[in-house]
Amino acid sequence: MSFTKKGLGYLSLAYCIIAIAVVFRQFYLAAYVIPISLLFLLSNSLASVEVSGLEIERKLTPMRSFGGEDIDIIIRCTNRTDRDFSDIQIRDHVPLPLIVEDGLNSIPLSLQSGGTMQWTYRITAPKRGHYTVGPVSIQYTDMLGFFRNQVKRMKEDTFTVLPAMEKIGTLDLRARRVGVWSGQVPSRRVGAGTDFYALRLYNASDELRRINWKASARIGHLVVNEFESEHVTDVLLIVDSTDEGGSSIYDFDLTEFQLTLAASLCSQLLMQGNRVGLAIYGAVRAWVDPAFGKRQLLKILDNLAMTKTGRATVPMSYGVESVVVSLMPSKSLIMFISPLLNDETASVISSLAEKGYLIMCLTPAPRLVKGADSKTLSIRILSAQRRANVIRFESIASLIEVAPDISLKTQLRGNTRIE
Amino acid sequence: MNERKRWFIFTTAISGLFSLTITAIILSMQSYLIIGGLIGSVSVLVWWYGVFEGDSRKLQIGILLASFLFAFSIVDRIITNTLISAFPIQLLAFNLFLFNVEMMSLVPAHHKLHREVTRSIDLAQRSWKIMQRKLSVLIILFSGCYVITISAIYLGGFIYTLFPIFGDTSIYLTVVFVSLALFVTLREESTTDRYKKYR
Repeated sequence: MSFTKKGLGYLSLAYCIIAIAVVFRQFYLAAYVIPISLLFLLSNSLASVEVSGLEIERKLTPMRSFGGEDIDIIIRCTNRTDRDFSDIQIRDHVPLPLIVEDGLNSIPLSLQSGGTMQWTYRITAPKRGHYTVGPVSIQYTDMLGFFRNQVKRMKEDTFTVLPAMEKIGTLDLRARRVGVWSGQVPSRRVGAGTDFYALRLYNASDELRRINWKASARIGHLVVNEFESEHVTDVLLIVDSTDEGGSSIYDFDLTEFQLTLAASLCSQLLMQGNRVGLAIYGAVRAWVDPAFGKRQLLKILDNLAMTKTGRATVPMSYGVESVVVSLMPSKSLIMFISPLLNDETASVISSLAEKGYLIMCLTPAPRLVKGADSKTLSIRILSAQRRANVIRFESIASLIEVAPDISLKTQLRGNTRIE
Repeated sequence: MNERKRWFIFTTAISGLFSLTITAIILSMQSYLIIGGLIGSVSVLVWWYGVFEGDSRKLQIGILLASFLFAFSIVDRIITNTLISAFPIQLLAFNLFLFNVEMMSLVPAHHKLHREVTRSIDLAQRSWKIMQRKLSVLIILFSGCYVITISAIYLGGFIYTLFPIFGDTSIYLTVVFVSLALFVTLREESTTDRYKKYR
């Protein structure tokens, strides 16, 4: 328990009045201290608060938010004691950079014995990540606020703001290696599918509707159409979030854009039934084993949400290659999302291509800048270095340059078919 | 009556009370009434604006101006050696001033609930109940303070006529009150610390 500013102010005022009264020998002046001392006396003796029986619950909805979605926080206070609480201040700690969008995270509360009070406030997070709210602090003072006491209740609750996603439409993929389950990736094998693959002579067990009558008339024997079977494939997304200082050539938030791209691709690839894995290389290294389904999408998005840009602690050749080789069988499709700013990326991609992986590289495109001042020149030199890397990659990997101001759907349409 | 209307009436009453405080202070002054009136008018305007906006900064400015005016009136009375004759009205002004200081912390704390948060009527009603309770306690407390102080002073005068040895009764009473208040405060604090230690 400590003096509040107000308490100290009142006490100072009382002693000032006494000092002035003594100095000027105006003893009637000292009578002004009587109301102040009475206030101290009554305020302190009338107030006695014991908040141990106050139960507080917090509920966050939703626990995961996508992009700019707001989070509603419901606080419920129940007085389990046999006494009434009056004028206590309940404050739920909302750390920066979270913003209280609507409602209040701090309210004065008065609760009768057994009473319950519930209120909601809404917060928003400026960007993706893991955030915590809390603890709830209960601040109570004596009746007039001369003394203050504060207790903290409840642990923090954590919620995740996942990266924003865009709808990118169906991805037309080709793969050297496909899984056993049917999907949307042509397998170069005869089976159930929609694309024409070959003709063969008619067997007694063939369906009549599969007979190609024109070809049969030309050859003189009954022939039937055969189709290419479609299966799922394994895809690994590698997000390069290292920052070696070259990201200044971009006039947008490179990491956020790369993460949006990765999240959108993962969502679409999983929706198409593929087995998708993720490896993040940057200040935080993480990987998610390839798997199917919605749960896998959430796992991937959770990992993307905690991505931090920065200098990597291990070499990329070790950090990426070791993960790829352990996670993915040879000939699998690897989608590399990188700004391609350093030479190490080129050597890693070459090495993976040599091991038989099919590489698709998606790289954010910087805007062209003109000018001759020192800053612009440095940006142009970095852009030229990047361009040189891009030219090197074009021979070993399929390369797609994506810009943030055009929809991903438009940019990826028809470009993802690689052999 | 809806919450906004009720809040408007409440803030108007608070502002009226502040005007009454300033009037009491000006009435207790003997000279420089025009300067006092000017400062008082400014403080009343700032206070009104602060109350309706729920802005604690403006309320603090209003209180500071009022405290300056009050100090000025006290000095004026000390210089002219007429402190005793204006004592009841000055004490009333002092009590009202302290009451307004309480309002200064009460109004901004509840302002948001009544003026900005419209979706939770329940919260606004609870806040209104808290304020009602606090207001009634404050009114009783400050009226009590005024009555007790006046009684103490007149009792002091009565004791002085009987026993002239207790000439400085007022200062004596003051010191006793302050000591008692501090004693209770420190005792409370030490009890809490001891409780924490054994918990």
